[in-house]
Amino acid sequence: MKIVFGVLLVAIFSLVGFIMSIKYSERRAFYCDFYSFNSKYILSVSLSKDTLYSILEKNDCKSDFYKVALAKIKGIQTIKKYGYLKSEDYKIIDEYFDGLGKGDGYIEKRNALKSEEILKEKKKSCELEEKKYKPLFIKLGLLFGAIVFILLI
Amino acid sequence: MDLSFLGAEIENAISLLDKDKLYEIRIRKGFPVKIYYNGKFEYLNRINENGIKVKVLGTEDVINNVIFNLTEGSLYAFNDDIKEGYISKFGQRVGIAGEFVYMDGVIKTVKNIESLVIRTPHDVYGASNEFLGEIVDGREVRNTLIVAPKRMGKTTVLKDLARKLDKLGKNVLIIDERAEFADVKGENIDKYVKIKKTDAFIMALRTLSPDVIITDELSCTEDFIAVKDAVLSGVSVISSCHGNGISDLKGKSFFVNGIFDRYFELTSKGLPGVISAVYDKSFNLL
Repeated sequence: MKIVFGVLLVAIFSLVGFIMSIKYSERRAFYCDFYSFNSKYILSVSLSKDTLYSILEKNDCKSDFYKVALAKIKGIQTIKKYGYLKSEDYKIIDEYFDGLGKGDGYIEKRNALKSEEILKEKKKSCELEEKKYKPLFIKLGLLFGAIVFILLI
Repeated sequence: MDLSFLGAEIENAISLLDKDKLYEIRIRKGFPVKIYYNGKFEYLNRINENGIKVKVLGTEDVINNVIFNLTEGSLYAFNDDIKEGYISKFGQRVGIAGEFVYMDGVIKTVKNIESLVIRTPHDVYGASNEFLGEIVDGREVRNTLIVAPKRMGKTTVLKDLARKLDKLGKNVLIIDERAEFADVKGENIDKYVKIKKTDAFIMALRTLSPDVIITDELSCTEDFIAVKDAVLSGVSVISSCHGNGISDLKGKSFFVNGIFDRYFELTSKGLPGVISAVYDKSFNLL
């Protein structure tokens, strides 16, 4: 009975650790979609001249980036705040979408190429953060569960 | 007819009208919106919160909102159109007027847009019935030019002709320079969209082997020469040109004679595409 209780406790705390680490995956997924959107945008302004909406639809987003970008493209000023995004992320989002699509192809491409560097860096740092913190949180959960179990018995 | 891009205020005001009688909407910054409705220009009115009829005003916000909706916030995607003085979307052509920006002697874009002219297309099935007998002669399709002023139904007739020729089994190529034939489809219809006529004719002859080419608004010598080359290659061409009639056409600096077998003049009788006169190749009245 004690063993079952102990396994359950460890599993619950590990799950808590996993849930606490989700924000890193969500942030990484957000920047992956953001970077991918920008890459498609660069191609589009140079060649196919698709609209922002059309590029977003083709982007196959797996994160909340779709909702954020759609709101921004529609010109909605106040967007929903997501817990896993920091204030610096919202600053990047605002700066990116402010004026996006309003210039000619040359200006748009120049701006998008500038953004590419920033987004590449952000994407990379988010991937590193996820790699670093996700297993850490799960391990901490596991450890905490084990400690609590030991203390209880 | 999707007019949602005009914004809620104008769309609501238009919803009070019979859309079949609406041909044009003119929005000018600081002035009431005007419409060409039931054969005449009038103000566009809306019902305010007190139930009183008031004129809809063309503000900067209204104009910017229309442009935003038309371009989906992606001006760069429409800059080639904008440089030509229009934006084409949803099968509608919106003419724009403002400050043109030149760079190295070439128009780069238009800024400070202060006027919009929205032409609302109408599909009138059967609009070309009267034309067909003169244009189709057995297996032959005569090279035809429709000459008429604006709002006489030139494009409406061309659209209907495309559908009719499709049903006759002719391979029809529509050269749709301003994306106005979006709703014309058929099993024998191909379309070149947003392409210069001069480029389109060359490509079409090399690759698509159409029986008939339909294109709207010939407006320069290069257009006429492109048509002439197509005709000399054995392809029939049906097109249109702005003008009050044959005498106007012959006086145009860019007109090239000897291409077309039939010329149609149109008249305004409240319906699109009402023929007032038909001429043969030598401008003899038929």
